[in-house]
Amino acid sequence: MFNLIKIDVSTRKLLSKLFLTATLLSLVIFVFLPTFYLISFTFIEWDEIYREVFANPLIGDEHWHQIKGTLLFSFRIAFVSVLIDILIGVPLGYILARKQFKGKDLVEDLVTLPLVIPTSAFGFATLMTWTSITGIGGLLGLRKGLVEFNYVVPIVRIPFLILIVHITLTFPYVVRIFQSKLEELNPEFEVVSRSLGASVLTTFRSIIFPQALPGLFSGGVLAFARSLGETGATLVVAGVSTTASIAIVKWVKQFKIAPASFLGFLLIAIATLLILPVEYFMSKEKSRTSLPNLTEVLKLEKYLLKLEKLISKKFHWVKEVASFIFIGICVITPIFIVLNSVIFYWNADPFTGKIEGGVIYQLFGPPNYFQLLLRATLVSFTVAAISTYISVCIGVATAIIIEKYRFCRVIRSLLKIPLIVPTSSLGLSMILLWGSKGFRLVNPGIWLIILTHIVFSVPVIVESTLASYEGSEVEVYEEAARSLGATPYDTAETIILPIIKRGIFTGAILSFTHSLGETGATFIVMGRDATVSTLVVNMVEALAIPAALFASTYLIALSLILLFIFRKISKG
Amino acid sequence: MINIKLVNVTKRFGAITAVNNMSLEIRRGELFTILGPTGAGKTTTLKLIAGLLNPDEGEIYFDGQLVNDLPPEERDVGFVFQGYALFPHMTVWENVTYGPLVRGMDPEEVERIGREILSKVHLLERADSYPHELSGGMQQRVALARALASGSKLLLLDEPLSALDARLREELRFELRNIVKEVGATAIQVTHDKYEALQLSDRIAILRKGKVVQVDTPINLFTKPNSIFVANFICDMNFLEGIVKKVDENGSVVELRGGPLVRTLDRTHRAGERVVVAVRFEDVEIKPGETNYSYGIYGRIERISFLGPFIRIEIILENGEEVSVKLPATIGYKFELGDRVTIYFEPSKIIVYSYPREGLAEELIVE
Repeated sequence: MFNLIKIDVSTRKLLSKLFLTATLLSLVIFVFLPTFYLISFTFIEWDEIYREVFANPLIGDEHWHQIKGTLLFSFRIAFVSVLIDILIGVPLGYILARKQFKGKDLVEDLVTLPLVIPTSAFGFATLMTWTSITGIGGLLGLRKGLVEFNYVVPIVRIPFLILIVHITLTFPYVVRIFQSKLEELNPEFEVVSRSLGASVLTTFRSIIFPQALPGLFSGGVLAFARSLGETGATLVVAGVSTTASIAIVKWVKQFKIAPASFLGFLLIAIATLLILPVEYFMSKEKSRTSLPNLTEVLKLEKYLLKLEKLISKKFHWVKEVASFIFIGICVITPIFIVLNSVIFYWNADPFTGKIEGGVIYQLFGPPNYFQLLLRATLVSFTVAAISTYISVCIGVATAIIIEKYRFCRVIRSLLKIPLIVPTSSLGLSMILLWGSKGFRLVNPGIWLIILTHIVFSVPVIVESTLASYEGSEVEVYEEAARSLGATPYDTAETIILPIIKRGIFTGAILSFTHSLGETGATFIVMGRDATVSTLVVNMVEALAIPAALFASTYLIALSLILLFIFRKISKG
Repeated sequence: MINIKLVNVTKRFGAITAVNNMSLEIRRGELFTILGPTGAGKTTTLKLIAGLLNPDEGEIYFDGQLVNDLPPEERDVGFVFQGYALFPHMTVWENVTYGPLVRGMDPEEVERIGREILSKVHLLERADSYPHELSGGMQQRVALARALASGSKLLLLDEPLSALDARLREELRFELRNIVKEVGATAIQVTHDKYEALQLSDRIAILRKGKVVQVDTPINLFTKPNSIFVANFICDMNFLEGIVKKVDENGSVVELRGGPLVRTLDRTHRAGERVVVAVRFEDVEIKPGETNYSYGIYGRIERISFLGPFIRIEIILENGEEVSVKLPATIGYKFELGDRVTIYFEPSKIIVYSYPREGLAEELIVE
């Protein structure tokens, strides 16, 4: 295992240059080019896009109006979702960071679940929960769903289902980041504040909150970006409403590449602009966000203090109860409903009694969804395995060069972008880059899916590898090994890799899970090779509810197992 | 100024009893120190008094009033942490006036208190600075000012000086004492630094494994430690095992392990009893060569450490036991490694303890 052959210095330098170049090159080809291709494509094909979007001979600037409309709609959804995320995330993050209670691990898992669950399956589960007879409505004894499919929440004018799906899929970002910011805070601040006479709530407002504000801000921005890009679940629950991401999917399916790519370009640009302030805020060691001076608003302050004292004393349970009710309704119930409904629909439609409406018939009867599901499973696993494998190779190398070379630090920030780029934009970018408008190398199908998944898997692996790199004192060991006469290659193999192994594993599991569940981009690039999560969308569109139920259950079960493995590894 | 009383207080964390049936009274206006090794339950005791923890058993009284169920914000105590915990997003002024503000005082009152307290700790001109712009000593004074500003008459100080470097720490000991005395607060400080405790306190409680071993003034603790543990913790002492050989009207004679005899003034132990003889390093008399003294013991110098003004000489006795001697450097420099010497314990400087039930080694553990 030790490389005893002496390599002379110049060869060694050449080798490390080669390593650097190869890593950078693969990063550019597999990650950055796909992410940003849509932007350059927009500039290159500007004439064509302009004609299609702004000056179509038949419909004029109709596409531009639609783009504006869907963007505004998406912004409204994202904005309202983030507002609600913050309302939920602040108390929940506080509870998770500061309280010890039985079942805390379970609550943390439930908060993480929306991040790993296949979005189409989750969208479908939410759909069933609220609108189906086997959902909450049925449980409450109504003979119909609790809400109408196309019920629109008044005032904000957002379809209820879209809103609830977006909140559930984005709130973990707010909770998790706010929580970790709180955990960094010295708990002594709170003790001092209370001993000085401030109630729990006053302490929270004047001491904790101002210091944790940057965390809340970054969490909010990530949630916002995620909501803008959400495609999988939205496809299932959207009905006639069209968000920006959905619009891209629809236009691509209609071969209207010009408006689709212009909208995709806008989304990528917005996502990139959004991530910049986050990076800036998180990189600042100590931020001094000061709230308005207490003395200036003292008139109001006195009432506020009294109110806070009262609430701290009498109503402190509200935050716990509200948080748990939210998790119960938005995370646990949909999963439970899907499992329950599968049983309900197993043999036949429970309401009409027709066996055509049963799971068994749809799976094994003439529709033969089982065959499709098997094939989709094969595709899903192949894609997840290959894309994870390639991403690990690129990701670990990237992590090493980020740690080694100062000028590579910027890569780390850049890698945040593929994570929040709207998935449908990414899918479109992939088609254009590798297909007819770019390299002309890969047609829609399993290979293009793999290439797409690599784009968002690499950042995940790089982050978790770097986390374990920074958590241990690798550099010290590395220097020790070098001083004992190990070559850089020996050091990498015998010292660095074993130490960061866990980080790599964690990243690999995460990216595998992500790949299994990805819907938005896959839907665009899959051609005829559907994955399980995209199959769910197809089933819903074909109104094959029992089959979709079964596929969703199957996907949710898979992601629960992966989450379990993930926990095992990350807790050690 | 208030007085504090703990009656049979017990606090457990799972299987560990951090504070075990503790009773303690802290007098009005006193600067009281809780001293003990790590894990003795010092900070737990402080937190129990502050109301940050609730006792499992027992009662805590402030001025005769039971406060067991009072939350920390209603106990009117000022808590100063080891790391000060100054709010980083607030200026010195905002930190100091935080207490009065959240207690809902009028703006003029807040202004007045802030000025008064800050001028007391000589930091009025730094009122607009942020904590990170101040030196360690200044931060310490801000923390003190903040605790005092809310008008609390009880100050709880958790290792208040330990975050400072050694030199500054000595300087600030007196300043801390002066400020506390000037505002007339009752103050309880926790520390594991015996010099700090001895120099600063009106009275000291020595804690061991969650129990109070001795409460006394610094000078009494130093001259009359009531147990081997306290003696070892407070003073630098030699401890030698032996058996009382005989008791007479002048005191007693103790036979050390291996035969050497020691004359003491102690008459509280009976002949044949197992005892421990304790002598301070600085009270051991040492003579060069093997002189024929009555009650002299021969030995050989094993190690010499130079401590600046003092020299510490470690001697292996004939019986294999080790004795340390502390001499002024101006005298001690004459001795050399390997020298044969005679040592002698002056009877009036010897303290005799009964042999501890758990063994001498156990008693001498301070960590």
